[in-house]
Amino acid sequence: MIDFSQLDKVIHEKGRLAIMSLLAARPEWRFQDLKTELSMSDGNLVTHLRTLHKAGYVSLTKEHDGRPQTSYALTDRGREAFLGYVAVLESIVQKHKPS
Amino acid sequence: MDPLHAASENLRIIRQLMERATVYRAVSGPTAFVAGLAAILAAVSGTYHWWDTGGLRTPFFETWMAVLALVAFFNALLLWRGARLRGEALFTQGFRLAMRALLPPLAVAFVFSLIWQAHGGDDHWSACLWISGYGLALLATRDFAPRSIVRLGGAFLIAGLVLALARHGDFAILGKLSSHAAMALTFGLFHLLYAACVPWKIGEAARQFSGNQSA
Repeated sequence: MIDFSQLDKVIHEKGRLAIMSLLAARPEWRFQDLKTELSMSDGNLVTHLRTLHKAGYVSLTKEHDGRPQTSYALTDRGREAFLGYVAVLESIVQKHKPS
Repeated sequence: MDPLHAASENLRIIRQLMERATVYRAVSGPTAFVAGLAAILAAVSGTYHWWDTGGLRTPFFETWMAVLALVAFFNALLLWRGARLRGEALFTQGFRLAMRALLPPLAVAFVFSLIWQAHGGDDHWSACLWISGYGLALLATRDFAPRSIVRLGGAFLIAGLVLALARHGDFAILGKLSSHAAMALTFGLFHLLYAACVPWKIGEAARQFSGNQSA
């Protein structure tokens, strides 16, 4: 039986997993682009990003390019956690694959 | 949901999101410039038969296949150079993703035009097939391509369809365009316009070519 406690609880949530996947694919995402890509409400996205930021997985940069803009990126710790999460999923698939 | 399905589903979601987020420019500024220039030169020489001496003609199909080979070679050189500079593999995830999107429409256009030409068909329809096929190929990269590529694809698709309809209806000047002129107008002019609008640094183009995914 697989020990699901191995899975990172911060990432193992649908919304946060989607955010982490996008952040892992591009160096930086603006808040508006993340919102459009994931079709999330402002409140929902802010809550998830705050959780990821608190865990040290995501860094944010505030800019004033005519209007205030916040961009998000994965930290080294976040990238490591994401890769670890994917590795656990892959091991689950491997172990349960019919031989 | 059992563990296998749950894990597989999560991995599928991750892969899908990461692929969607990958930025890949299938046509860089330098490649577009070379393609545009080569297309115009080929169209001019094809139209006026500059090297047509002693009855030697410049057949439409062979001429444009030579242009394709030249541009593909230049593109491969750019990719190889970019990959070497970054110390990366030539075939990145972005490259494979782009090929999966680009090849089916291009293969359809190529095979149909080959058969059409083999049966002695009018060159103009081959040109329309290539133009709209190329447009469809670029549009197929819309999930991971910059907006400029999607616009270029849309322009090719519309031009291909308009040229075909104009020819069919013998409509004004468009209906009387030679096949070489149709190719120059699209593969030549569109690419040159595109080259004027996108980043021109070879390094930047090479970086975009290989995609920038890092996980």
